[in-house]
Amino acid sequence: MNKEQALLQRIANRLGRTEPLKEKPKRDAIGAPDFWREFKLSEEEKIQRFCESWRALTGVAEVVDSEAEALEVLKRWAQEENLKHLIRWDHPELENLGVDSLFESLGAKMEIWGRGETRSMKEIANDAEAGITWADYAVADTGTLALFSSREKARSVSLLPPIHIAIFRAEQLVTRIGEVMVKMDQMGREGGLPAGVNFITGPSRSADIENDLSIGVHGPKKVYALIIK
Amino acid sequence: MSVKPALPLKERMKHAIADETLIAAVKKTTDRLEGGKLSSSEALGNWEEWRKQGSRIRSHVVEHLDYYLGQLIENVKKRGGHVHIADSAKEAVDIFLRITREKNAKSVIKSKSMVSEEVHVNKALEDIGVEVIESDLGEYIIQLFGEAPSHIIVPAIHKNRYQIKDKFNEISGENLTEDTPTLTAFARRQLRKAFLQADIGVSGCNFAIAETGSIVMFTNEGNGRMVTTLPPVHVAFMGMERLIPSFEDLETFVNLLPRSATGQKITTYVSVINGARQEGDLDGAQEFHLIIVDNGRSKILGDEEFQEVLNCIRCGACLNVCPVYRHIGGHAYGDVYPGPIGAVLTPLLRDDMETWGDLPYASSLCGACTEACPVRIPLHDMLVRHRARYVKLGLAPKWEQMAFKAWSKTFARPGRYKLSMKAARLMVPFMARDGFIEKGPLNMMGWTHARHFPSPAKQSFREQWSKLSGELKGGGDHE
Repeated sequence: MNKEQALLQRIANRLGRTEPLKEKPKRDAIGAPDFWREFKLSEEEKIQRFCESWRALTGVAEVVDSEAEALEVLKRWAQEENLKHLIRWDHPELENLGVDSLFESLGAKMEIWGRGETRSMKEIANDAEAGITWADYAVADTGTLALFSSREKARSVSLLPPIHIAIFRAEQLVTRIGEVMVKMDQMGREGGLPAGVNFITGPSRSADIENDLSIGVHGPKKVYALIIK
Repeated sequence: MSVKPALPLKERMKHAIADETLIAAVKKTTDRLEGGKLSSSEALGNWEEWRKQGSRIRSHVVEHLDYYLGQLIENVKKRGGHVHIADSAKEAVDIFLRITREKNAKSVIKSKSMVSEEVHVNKALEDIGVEVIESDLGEYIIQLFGEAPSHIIVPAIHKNRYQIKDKFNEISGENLTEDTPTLTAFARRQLRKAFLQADIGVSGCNFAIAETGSIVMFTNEGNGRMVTTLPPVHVAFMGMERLIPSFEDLETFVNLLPRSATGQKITTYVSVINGARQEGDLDGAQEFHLIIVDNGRSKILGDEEFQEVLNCIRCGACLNVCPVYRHIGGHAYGDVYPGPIGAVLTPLLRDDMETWGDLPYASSLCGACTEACPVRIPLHDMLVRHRARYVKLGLAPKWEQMAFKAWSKTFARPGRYKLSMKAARLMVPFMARDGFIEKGPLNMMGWTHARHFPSPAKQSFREQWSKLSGELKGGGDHE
């Protein structure tokens, strides 16, 4: 009997079973309480709730009606932060939006994760002033982004640069985080879970020094969210 | 592993109570956390329903731990992860050292993990010449001081900014000021290099998802993401009970844990790690190891009086409301887990009532911990159960055993009881002043050195009653 079997056997015995349980046990308490599952917001409410929650944590959030307006907002942010060196996900939505030519016209260098230079992508991300991602989902209730990793959608881009800019469409908003969780269960059953899923709510924070809130300990200090209707 | 604290509990408490800085810091922090918890749980609404749901899910898992742990192990392996079982703290350390040697690792960077504290990984690594760096800001600070955490959530609450500034300047030769942004920026600079260069990243595991073989971490600073994203090898330490069946269940704990811990609606990062990086990925660890630690946990299973303690989700809410913890801080508890949860858990995990059986006495039994627990563990009942076992094992001090024996003999017989009360009242004029005893004899001193003890009434209730009932019988005309 190997160590794993021995542990399971030991647990089974302690729980009054002669051998480890093989059948999935029945249960009635699953997920969130019933009343919470009925919590549903309209699209307009979701946008509003997301922005409120995101801003409450010092995040910057803007809602626009079109791609052209989105580029205007990005331009403004880039000028305010004086961004000269960025890295982005290799995502078709970002490509189609035309962020590369926008930043080029502003005289900033835009790197694309996984393309180009032979130098380590992690180092590039570490040197960049801002990372741009396209959120997979956003949660209105808590003001949370959900980012699923892949070759093109690296975790480093939302983590290493001091500024993180996330863009997504209003239809990607859900009311509660549990809606994304259920999708992850589904992906797990179909064998499609990515290596990393990150739920991000605001900038990196700590209160470890005398309870004084400090922002940007290891992750981004500033977070921007741009919602396209 | 037989670990003994350097000093007995009473001595540890005396040290703690003498430390004014500590007391002020603990008070401020616990007030902040508790206040945040109350307002955020109230804002969520239906808090009791959430607690019930949390308790039901956790109890279900613990009652069927053989199934869910088996399922988790299978699924971690399916994803290419390596699973290691550690029956004891020593085995957990040995497993980790073996991985370190196999990878020829020179430096290890850690994000907060209570289990790795529990098994004392750092010391073992230092002994074989491997650099080990704590990357949680609070843990980083206390590591520089060579101290242990004093709170589950805020490990360095006992250090003030001046002490931190001096230490940072001492190690770097810089001339930093003591404002928080400067100190934080320094730690960011120092640790960023370490994240990028470390050979192994170590993390804890708030929850493991049995159905998918995933581990979930709730963090705020981003260091948990760093240690799982940048170094080529990721090793996660997990207490064997830290499971939930599926992601769907995680919604309940995403709502319960951060609110109970810090009063946040949700932590900045909820990170889900589904094994090592996948084909084509250019970041994320290339290799994933999960060390599942028993270290005394399986002995708690099947123990009707204590099994529920395994439902604990390590939020620290019981610490913040405990009047004893608030006075003495974490170090006085002598081991990794402080506060009411520590007083219940430590004697069980260590399986050593002789050394740790006095911890359950560090409680006022007010029940605030039970009330605060997001998964409704009856902590104060457990503290009483521990005390009962302590006495049954004959570990209570001799004088206490004698005193209680005498007490029960006296109180079992009305005649003896009356006589003792009379005797007590005869003594009162010698000890009491203004209705209070300020300096008690013998074991009463433990109480009266900090508080006054009310002196017995001049007339006992029974004496008053016989007088009153006489009046009632004789004088119906009062009606």
